Amino acid sequence: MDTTGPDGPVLVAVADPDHVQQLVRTAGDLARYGPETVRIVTVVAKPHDSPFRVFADETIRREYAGESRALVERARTPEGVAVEREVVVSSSVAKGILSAVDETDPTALVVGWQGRTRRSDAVLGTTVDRLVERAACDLYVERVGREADGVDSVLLPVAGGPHVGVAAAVAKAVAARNDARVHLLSVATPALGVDAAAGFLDGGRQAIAAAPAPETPVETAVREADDVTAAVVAAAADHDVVVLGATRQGPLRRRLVGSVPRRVVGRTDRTVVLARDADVVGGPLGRLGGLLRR
Amino acid sequence: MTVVGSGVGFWALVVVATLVGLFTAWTLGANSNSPPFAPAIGANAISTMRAAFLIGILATLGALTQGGSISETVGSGLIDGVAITSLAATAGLLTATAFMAFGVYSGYPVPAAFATTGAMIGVGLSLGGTPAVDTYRQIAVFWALVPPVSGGLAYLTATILRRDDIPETVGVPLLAALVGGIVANVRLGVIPAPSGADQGSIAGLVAGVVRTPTVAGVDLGAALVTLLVAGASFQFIRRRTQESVDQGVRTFLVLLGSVVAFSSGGSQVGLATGPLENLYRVELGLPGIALLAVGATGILGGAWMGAPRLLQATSREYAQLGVRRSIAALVPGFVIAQAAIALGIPISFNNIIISGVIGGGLAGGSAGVSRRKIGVTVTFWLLTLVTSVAVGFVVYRAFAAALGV
Repeated sequence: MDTTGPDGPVLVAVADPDHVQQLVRTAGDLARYGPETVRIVTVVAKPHDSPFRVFADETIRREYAGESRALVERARTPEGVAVEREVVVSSSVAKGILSAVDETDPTALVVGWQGRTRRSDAVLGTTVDRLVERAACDLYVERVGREADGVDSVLLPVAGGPHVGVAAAVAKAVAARNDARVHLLSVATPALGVDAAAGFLDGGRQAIAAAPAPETPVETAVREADDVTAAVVAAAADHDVVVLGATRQGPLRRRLVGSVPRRVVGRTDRTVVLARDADVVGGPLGRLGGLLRR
Repeated sequence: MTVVGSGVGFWALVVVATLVGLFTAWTLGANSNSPPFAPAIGANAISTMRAAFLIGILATLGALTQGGSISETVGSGLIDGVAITSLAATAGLLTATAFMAFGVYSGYPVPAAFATTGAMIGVGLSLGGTPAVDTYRQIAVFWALVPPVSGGLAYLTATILRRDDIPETVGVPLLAALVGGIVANVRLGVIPAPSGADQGSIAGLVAGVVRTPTVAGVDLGAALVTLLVAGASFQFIRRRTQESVDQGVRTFLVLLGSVVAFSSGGSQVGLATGPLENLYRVELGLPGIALLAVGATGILGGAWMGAPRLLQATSREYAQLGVRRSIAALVPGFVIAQAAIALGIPISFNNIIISGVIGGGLAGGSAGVSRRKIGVTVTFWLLTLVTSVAVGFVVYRAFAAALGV
């Protein structure tokens, strides 16, 4: 990875017409103070056993893409950014998004998540799991369908993980558009102690200061509690959007997303955005998986 | 090679081989049975769940009544001089299943028929058998003919359906007559056949019951029955199309889907049961239907569990293809699957449908296919064939060495 960082657009992958606007808006927030371009992509998946897979990408886009083209074309342009639109043809949705990431070197990728997975072996869903595991850019997974009407306050729980920078970036960007405040929360468990928890707040404050969006009011709080999940869920009730770092990363799927974020999203009805830093992607197992999977 | 004898080891291998065969059939049922009804669902002629239910039933019936011929080829036609033991069957099935699993996981096109045929050849050679070159030649010719014939038939069908001077009230019933005529002549294991023939057909049965003269080698009775069935099919669909073209086309799509699903079951089950042929029929002395019942059970389970999800995806695709081109892809699928069953040649249904879809597309002007993608697909078909022989060979050697056979 180069040191200057990616300079491509903010990529947003859409599939369901009901949720396009929500995701494009978040992507717009991220792009407004960065590359100023949002690239809306949708994937037409022609799996390995589809008889349509031998058609040229152009033919598939023109004749066999269904509503995909209309889907990206109908998406409204967020204020203050330029929009690019693309229909990607691939053998699977995850692979299509990953190839779009490779091609555009995006500043960030925004994807939606239904909040439930039907497959028992998946953490967030098979497609989102693979993106969390493999997409080599900052990644935001937003739970779709539970969008806050207006945003007054964005909750950003911090615990010193590797994702605090990307989490702070989206929290600040969303707050800036809504003239809202960012509320930094650090949970002091008996094992951790109040001092260490306060230290995480400093890290959070620095991350917010470093994020590109204009200055926004920042509140901080240390909450003493035995259970981190319960404390975050309780705090979420007073805010409109919750931004969570993905906390953990490993070659095994179960550890893709830490246990706290997974439990928090199940117990709050707020808009939830999971943030995952680009730098955690890679490793020999990830590359092996990349070779095997198309 | 009854080395293991009839001890515990023998029965353990029988159980393992049967389970692997069942699993292979399950995989085939889940993955290869969605195309037949996808166009009908896409045209709103039938609901997804009802289609999935029907596919399971029809594919199972097809497997039971038509699965025998391909099963025999896979089990005993590919290698001369040796019989496939239960260990060899297990090795072959595991190899083939591993290839299919690799295809599903990796997204590369890995046809089940190629993987199974290759694996069984590899295992047979590993057992010390000699290659059945004549059979390979037949299979190779058939496989090479599939793309042009399927594509050509699809092109022809799509052209007939597109022509303005052939109204749909004639074109669609004509296709129904063709399909009906073939249905009257498909060989079914359950119909008693006169001695000398391997399997009976409806036309053959009627012709055998009512004594009719034979002219120029053609049994007049069978020809008459064929014409009657074709005529009835024509008339039925013609009535429906005359009432409402849309309604008639939908009815035809469902009926066509039904016979294609039936043929699909008949052509796929042998890939799972073939390796077990010697074990079941010779070593255990069971009738062929017992083995086919095992395979049919797997197909049924796979189709019911796996089909609804796949159907949702594929039906959306066929909806974009349109009714005419969907019919154009399915008619050759049916014809070629039945030809393969009659000749006992293992086939992958998907390969036929791919050619059909391209052929139907050509009738509309340009096919719009990607040479690169076709190249990749064909390359993987050939790679599957070659590597499965090698892997099957090695896997059996490894099994035999591990068990000290």
